[in-house]
Parts: sequence; structure tokens; C-alpha cells
Amino acid sequence: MNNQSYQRTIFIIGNPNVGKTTLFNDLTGANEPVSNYNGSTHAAKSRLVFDNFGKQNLVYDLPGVYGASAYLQEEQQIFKLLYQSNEHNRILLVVNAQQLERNLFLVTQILELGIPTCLVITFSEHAYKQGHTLSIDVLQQALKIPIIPLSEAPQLRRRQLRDIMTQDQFQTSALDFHYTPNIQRCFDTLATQSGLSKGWCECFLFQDSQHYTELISDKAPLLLHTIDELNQADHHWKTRMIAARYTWIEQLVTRCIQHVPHPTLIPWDRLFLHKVWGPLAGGVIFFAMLFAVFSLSEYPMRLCEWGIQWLQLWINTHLPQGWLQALISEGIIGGVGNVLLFLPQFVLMVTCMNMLENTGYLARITFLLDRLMKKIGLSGSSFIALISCYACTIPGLLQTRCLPNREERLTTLFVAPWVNCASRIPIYLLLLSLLFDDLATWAKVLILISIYLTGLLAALVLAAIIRKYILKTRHFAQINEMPPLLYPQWNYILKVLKAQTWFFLKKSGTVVLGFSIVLWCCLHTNLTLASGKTINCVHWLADKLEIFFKPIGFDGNISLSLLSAFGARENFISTLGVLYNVDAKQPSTLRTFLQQAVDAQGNPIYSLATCVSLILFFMFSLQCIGTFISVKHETYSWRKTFLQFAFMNAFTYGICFTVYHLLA
Amino acid sequence: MIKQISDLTDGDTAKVLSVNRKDALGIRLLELGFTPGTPVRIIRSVSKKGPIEVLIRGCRLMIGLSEAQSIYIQA
Repeated sequence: MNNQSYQRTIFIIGNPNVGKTTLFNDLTGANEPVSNYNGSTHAAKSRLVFDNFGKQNLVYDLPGVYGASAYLQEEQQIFKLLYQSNEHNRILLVVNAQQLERNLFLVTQILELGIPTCLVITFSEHAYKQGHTLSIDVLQQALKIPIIPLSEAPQLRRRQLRDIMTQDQFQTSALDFHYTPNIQRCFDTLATQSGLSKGWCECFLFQDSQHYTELISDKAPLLLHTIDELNQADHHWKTRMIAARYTWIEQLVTRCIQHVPHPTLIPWDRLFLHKVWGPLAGGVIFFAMLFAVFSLSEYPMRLCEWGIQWLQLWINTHLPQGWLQALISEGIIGGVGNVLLFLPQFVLMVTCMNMLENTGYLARITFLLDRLMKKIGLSGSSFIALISCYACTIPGLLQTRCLPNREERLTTLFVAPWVNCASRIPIYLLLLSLLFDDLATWAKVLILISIYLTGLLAALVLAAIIRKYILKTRHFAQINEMPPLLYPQWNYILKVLKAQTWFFLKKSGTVVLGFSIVLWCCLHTNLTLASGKTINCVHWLADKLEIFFKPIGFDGNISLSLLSAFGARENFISTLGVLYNVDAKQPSTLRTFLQQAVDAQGNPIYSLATCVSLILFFMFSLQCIGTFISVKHETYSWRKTFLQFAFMNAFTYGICFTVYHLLA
Repeated sequence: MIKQISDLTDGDTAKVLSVNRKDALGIRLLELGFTPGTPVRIIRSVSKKGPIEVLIRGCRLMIGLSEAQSIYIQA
């Protein structure tokens, strides 16, 4: 990392869920996802911004941290980054006004590192409304650094943050804690002998030695020696040092907060976290959500379907006959159009899930399901990671980084692809509409819920098996913070929705479109072999694939589409769309094509057995190049990645084979 | 009387006596504010074996059973 070329580097640091990423977005104009649970930021993200004088500032958004002991791997990274910093570095410390006492612990530790710091207070208006009366002056006198309560209005907050940056309102400060003489003596000796600042001494004393040996290999023996001395001097030195800080903080808090309201517990939590009503309410919420998604999306979907057919017809009649007309009609509309059809459902689904996450409801489910998870051998945090796979598996894989236990993390990574992601929804919907054309919405919802639950349950069962027989550890830690229950913040939900819709459209416009065009071109290119026989490479490939996939009920077209789905799951639909559109005499919807498709003997291709087999295939197979690469990235191991790939696909083949032959 | 935090029932308040763990997790619990003398309140527990929701230093935390058993309190 070369910080020299920038005027300043600003690190945003604070406890989890205090709103660091929101400030990062405000300051840099970035669009990083924020969430209402701990640990949505997993790795340091940086962005370059210019202040009002045109100076360059590199702003870092860092994962949440509780204290210098750096219990989690993410926390260790932060201290590593701070240790390597130079005189151009600044820290923007973020503190939640409602959790001032606990948040100040990290503040005192960071201040001692000797890096110029500015303290900003979030949720201060919220706290004021609840009855907190916080005296900034008293706080400022004690901490001796600039303290700025941030506004909750985004525009004003943005200006405040820019002012901090432009006016360089960062200062160093020294605090003094009273340790017992024994501890103080050891501590002072270490500081003078090592040449480290007091803050860094304490930081390294609290951390596991293997975390910092590469950073300060020359000082490691000295540190270990001091730890021995401290252990001899006072067995509870760590407790005493932390308690000394908290005593200082308590005294400060009683001076700067005149009135702390009795913490109000939101009445909704009585319902959501109730032993009996809680799970019931969860079931009702999920059913209502999916029901709303399907009943509401029906009309826009019909409209899209009608629009696409109309467009295809218009092109066929108005454009001159020829390859361009065929390419647009069969290749592009037949391919991409059929994928875009599912946009309304995708949008609604994503909105609903964002709402649950944004209000803090998802974190409550983990609390309820904790006992079940514990039996399996996972913690509530793994459940959050698994649930985060709903939109896309890859963010879920990143979420596993907040799991401190290695075995637990590997298990979660291994089973995560079985949790259904949003890009599989269009495929399920297409197949369900083939299976049950005139099914009531509630029945469709029930089937879809059962698909979702089966995926999740299968993942949990697999995790239980792995934890029991392969990756065994007796105990893992489990401390989570209960995020506040909030009303949905619509502007935020809309922002996320925009980003995810854009992602969907971008994928359709690039990967799916590109693949559709290539496929169309290949379909229209025939190769003449040396023997004089003419073959089409696509049909040749489909025939070869069919040999392999026939036992589980898939013909050449399906097999080819499955292969293309490796690039993006949506490719499955676009490939089928192109294949059938090219062969067809006149354009129609993909659903009609599939309903009318028959094999050589005149039997329908998309029979019950084939459709169920296909649904199972999409539920269990690992066939997404993005997931594959992410697993490699997270496990640092090709062996584990291939093991997962081989296991999941072999399992899928087995289960599809069994079910197909039972139903056929 | 000395008890473990897991022995308390919903709505109880007590003062932390000590965190009886020597590992990194013990330090983490101290950092989260479970220092001797701190008042802690049980908000709710899902079941006898389930996680416990506690209020400490103005923060709501969910802690697992085995972590709760390592926190001793003066009831």
C-alpha cells in the first residue's frame, strides 16, 4: 500500500452496526451495501475523494471492531493496517449516541495509538428524542479531540463530514488510566524498551502473539517476556486493565449524560422473540411476503410477456427479411427477452427481503433458531450467512468471514450453495408454470416455500453431518448484538433495489445477451467435415451431452442450456429461448414452446418427471462460476473447492436419477 | 450469592462478579463490558439451553449458553 501519493488517508473505525458504511457512502459518494446487523462490511474498502481545496483523500471503510484484543480475523486486519500507517493518516471514529458507554471503550484504545482522530456521533437526534441528554463539551474536555454530533439528514451530514475532511479536524490526544503499581511498572518498562507507544503496547499485549509476529518480529520476545512478568505480578492483569478503562468511562459518562432513559424494549420484540408466537409469526411473515410477491407480480409479468411478443411480431413484420431480423427476433428477444420477463418478480422478491433485513427482523430469527443451530453445530452468525445467500450466494460466502471458528466457517462455506439464490427464481417459476398451469397463487407460494425450505434444510442437514463426522470442534463462541427494530427506511430500500435491479439488467445485457448472440451464430453455422458430412456444432454438442444427461431425464436442448447456465443461471432460460425460437416456424412464448415440445416418439419432453428432476438439479448442483471462484477465494484451497464441486454435482446427479426413475 | 448468569430468569438484574475464562473469548466478554461490578439485566431467554438476551452498558447482546455459564454474578 502506497499512501505517499495521497495527501491524507482517513480510516473510518467504530463498533459494529454504528453506521460506518453509511458515513463512507456519504463522504465518498460510494454505494456500498449497509445493513441492520453486525458485520456487513468484511474487508477494508477504499475510495479516493477530493476535499473542498482539491486535496486528495483516501477514505477507508473498515469492518466493525470491539476492542484491541482483535478477537476476529477482520479486527486483526484493522490493527495491522493502522500499525503500518504514517503521519498522513487520520482516524474518523464513529460512536453511536445510544451506546456511548460501550463505544467509548474502543475510543480510549484507539486514542492511545497516537493517530490524529476526530470523533463523530451518529444517531444523536434519535437518542435525544428518546430522552438522552448528552453534553458534548464535557466529552470534549475529557477526550481532548474534536467531537461532532452528526445530523440525521443526509445532506447536512454530508456537509459536516466534508468540513471535517477539508478543515483537517483531527487531533491526537493522551489519556491516563490508573493501573495498579505492579501492572503499571511492567507496562512502563515495555514502553521504554520497545519504543512503542502506550496504545500499541497494550494492543499487542492483548492480542494473540501469532497475529503480530510478522509485524514486529524483533519486539516479539520482549512482549512475551512482559506477558510472563505480568502473569507473575497479577494473575488478573487483563481484567484489571479493562476494568480500569471502564471505570474511567463510567465516571465520564455520569458527567456528560445527565439523564439516561430507562431502556425501552420495543413491544414488537415480545411477539417476534416469543418462544411460541415468535416462530409462528415468522412463518406468517414469510408466507405473506411470498404471497404478495406472486400475486402482485402477475400483472406486470403478463404485461412484459405481451410486450415481448408484440416486439417480436413487430420486428418480424417491419424489418426486412434476413439474418439481422432473425438475429434480433430469435437470438436477442428469444434469449434476453425471456429472462427479462422475470424482472417484476425479482424486483418484488428483493424488496421484501431487504425490508426484513432493514427492519432488523433477520437478526431476530437467528435468536429464535439458535438452539436448533447449536444442535447442528453452527451458530446464529452462520445462519445469517446462509440466509444472506437469498439474493446471491456470493455475499453469503463473504458473510462467513465474521465466523471466528475455522471449522464452522468451512462448513458454512461448503453448504451455502444449497440455499436458493434469487437467480434461480425465474427457472423455478418457468418450470412450475409448465407443471401446474392453472394453479392458485397460494399453492404456488406453498410449493416455492417448500423449495426454499428444502434447500435450506438440506444445507443444514449436510452441515450437521460435516460437523459431526468431519470438521469437529467442541465449542465455538457466540456473542451477537441485537440490532434495533426499525421501521423500513424506504429511501435506503429503494437504493438497494436500484442497485440489484441494475445488476440483474447488466447481467442480462452482457453475459446473457453475449451468450445468446454467440449461440445463435453457432446454430446458423454448419461445419463440413473431411468426410463430406455437414454438422452443426451446437447440435453435435447437444447430442454428446444428451448421452450423459439422458439418465436423469434431460434431452440435448436441456443439457446444452444447463451447460450454458454455468456462466449465469439466467442463461438456462435464454438458451432454451434461442434454441426453440430458431427451430420454430412462428414466434411464441417460451412457455408455449416448452409445453408443445415432444420427442421422437411423440411424448412430451417436459413431463412431470423431467420438470421435477430439473428443479432438483437447480436446487442442489453447484453450477455457478461466480460461486466456484468465490469459494476458492475464501478457502484459499483448490482442493476444497473441487471437493465441494464434485460432491454437490455427484449428489445432484444421484438424486435426479432416483427421482426421475421413480416418477417416469 | 454467587451464581452464573445463565441461572437468572427473565427480568432479573445482577452485578457481574467475574468472567471465568482465560481464553480470547473471556477478554472479548470483558471488552464488551462484563467487568466486575457492572449491572446486567436479563431481557429474555428462549429456553433453558438457548441463548440469553442481556442488557449491559446500554447494549442488547445475545450470548450463548456456554458463554453465559462463564460469567459469574452476585445475585
